[in-house]
Amino acid sequence: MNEENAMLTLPEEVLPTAGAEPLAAQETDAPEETVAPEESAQSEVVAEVTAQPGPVDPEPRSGLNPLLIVAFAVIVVAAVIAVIAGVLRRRRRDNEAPSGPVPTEPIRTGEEPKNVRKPGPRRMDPMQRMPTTAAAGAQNGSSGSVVEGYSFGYAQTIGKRENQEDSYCISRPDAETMRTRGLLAAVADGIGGLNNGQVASGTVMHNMAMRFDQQNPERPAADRLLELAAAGQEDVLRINRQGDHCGTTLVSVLITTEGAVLLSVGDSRIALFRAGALIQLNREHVLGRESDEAAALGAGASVEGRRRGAITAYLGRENLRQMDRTLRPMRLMPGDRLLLMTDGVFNTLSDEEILHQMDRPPQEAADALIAMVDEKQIPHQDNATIVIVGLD
Amino acid sequence: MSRLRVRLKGCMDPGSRSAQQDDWGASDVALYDAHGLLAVLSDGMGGMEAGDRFSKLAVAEMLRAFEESPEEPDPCLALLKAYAAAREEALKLCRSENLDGGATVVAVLLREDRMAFLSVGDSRMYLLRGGGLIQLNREQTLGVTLDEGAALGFVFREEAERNVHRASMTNHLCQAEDRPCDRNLQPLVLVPGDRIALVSDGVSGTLSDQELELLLNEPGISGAEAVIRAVKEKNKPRQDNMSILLLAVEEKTAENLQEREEAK
Repeated sequence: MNEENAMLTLPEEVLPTAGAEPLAAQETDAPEETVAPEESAQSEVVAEVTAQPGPVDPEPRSGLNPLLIVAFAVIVVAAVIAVIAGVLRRRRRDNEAPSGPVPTEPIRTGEEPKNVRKPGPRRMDPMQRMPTTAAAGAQNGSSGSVVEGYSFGYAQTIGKRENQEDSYCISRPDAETMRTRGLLAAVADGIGGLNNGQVASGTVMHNMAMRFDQQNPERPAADRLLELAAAGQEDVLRINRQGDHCGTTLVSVLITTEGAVLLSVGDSRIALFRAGALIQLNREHVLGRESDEAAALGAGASVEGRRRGAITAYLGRENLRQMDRTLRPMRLMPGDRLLLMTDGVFNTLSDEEILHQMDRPPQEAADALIAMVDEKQIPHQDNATIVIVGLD
Repeated sequence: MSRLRVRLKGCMDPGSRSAQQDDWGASDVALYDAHGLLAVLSDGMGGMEAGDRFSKLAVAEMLRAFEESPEEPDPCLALLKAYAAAREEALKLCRSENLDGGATVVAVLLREDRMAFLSVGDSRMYLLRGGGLIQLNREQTLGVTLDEGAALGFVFREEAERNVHRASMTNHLCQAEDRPCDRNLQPLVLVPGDRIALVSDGVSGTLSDQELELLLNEPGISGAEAVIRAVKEKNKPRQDNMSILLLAVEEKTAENLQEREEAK
């Protein structure tokens, strides 16, 4: 280690938030600690705003009109595609056999909310432009195809909730994209009442997939993934500045020829299936864990009960300082499966149950696991989403 | 009752340094079935005066806390408490002798074929599973914090990139402020063939992950010596102290069980 530097004290402005802060609860089953105490008051505002999908530019400038028109047109197209995608997906969930591979699969995002306000274009940043139709969550049935040795699957259920607040995205799995940029897979579990969670997770997934296609692929994978997550944080903060209060977890993997890098914020999970067992690769940002640590180190008391599950980091949290991420690619091995899950999956299914599906192709495994979640008929079953990427 | 057994080997070399500031230790592997197993590796820092004292203290105090403390059912918490006990002693030593030092800690606690792990500082912890290497811990260095700060927009990008202290640690044994440890929440399920390697940066700074993966694939615990040999063969100028603690998880075969019966 670097001896002369080892004792350096961090300047205040880059300190990670030290103490455990009871900031947010997960989902609506812990209402005593929801993110926004004034939520009900806000939800009305939200409903109003989201009823009129249109870009909202936080920084009004002159010469905006042509952009507005183009952006609105794109959104309309995107919304139509999202509706079609939703119908197709529902049909697929009803055991319709997936259609054969299609030459180019557009990026898809999960349950793209139809009335999401897309964040407006950001100044001087070409990556923040409005989505092109190709990146807007279209759907076809080529999932399960094998590209460059990788196959993937995804499935989700709304559970017993009113809204689907989970979203996911998988980058364009064509050979060219995979060779130059790699494969991005991500899952986001939205937080907030009414539509808000959906807005946050949908926007982040949508933009993440879009930006992935525009990033400089020469840069290290860990840096690219960090940049995507940070842009997602900015997206949710921008939504919140317009009066919403929402947030989302994020679990993401970026696989290149060198291997996989991971990034996680919140309490969703990334697990690796290898050699017949599961390994959780990320750390959940939950109050229970942090308060246990504070208690053991003599700096506080352990939190008990439901509050243990409150999440302490999420995209959309002001002053987000902690992200959990790997710095160097982990080489993947044939037979490996990377699982990205929201808590609706792993709170309902045991590791054993998940393990038993791992010998199937990723799409079959994803479908089977989500079907199992539904079959359990758990009261108040949370939204559950899983994305599986496998190397064969 | 565990169905696995654990073998363990630690190796150290001072490299081209005059003092050895790394240390490692483990509880009795023969007691794995009854009490579990704690294995610790620590890389001391703080110049000649104190570096080795803190690494030795970290190892000794964690082992003492593990052996003396009443059974904490959750291995993750048991490991955290052992670390907390060592940290308390280390902070006392800092205060009483006005020492400016510290140490990294990478530690694992194995019980009933599951493993809790904990890390502070920039040492590394790897799991070799199915022949493939997985780094389990995250190094806690200023560079990581600065890069995240730059991405999130509260540190200037240039400042993050040019900061001369990027390699310095944001957390270690004697860090007085409460910074989070890097640790797992649910114990990791072990499978036969798993190897767990705890290494100081004298190893990870000289060998690539690919090289390590190859060496750790040697049978059983022979990878420990192979790793030290490989680092020395690189003849790196100003090679830091190097240490590795390697655990090999194996199926308890009928033969193993018989051996144990005979020993009794």
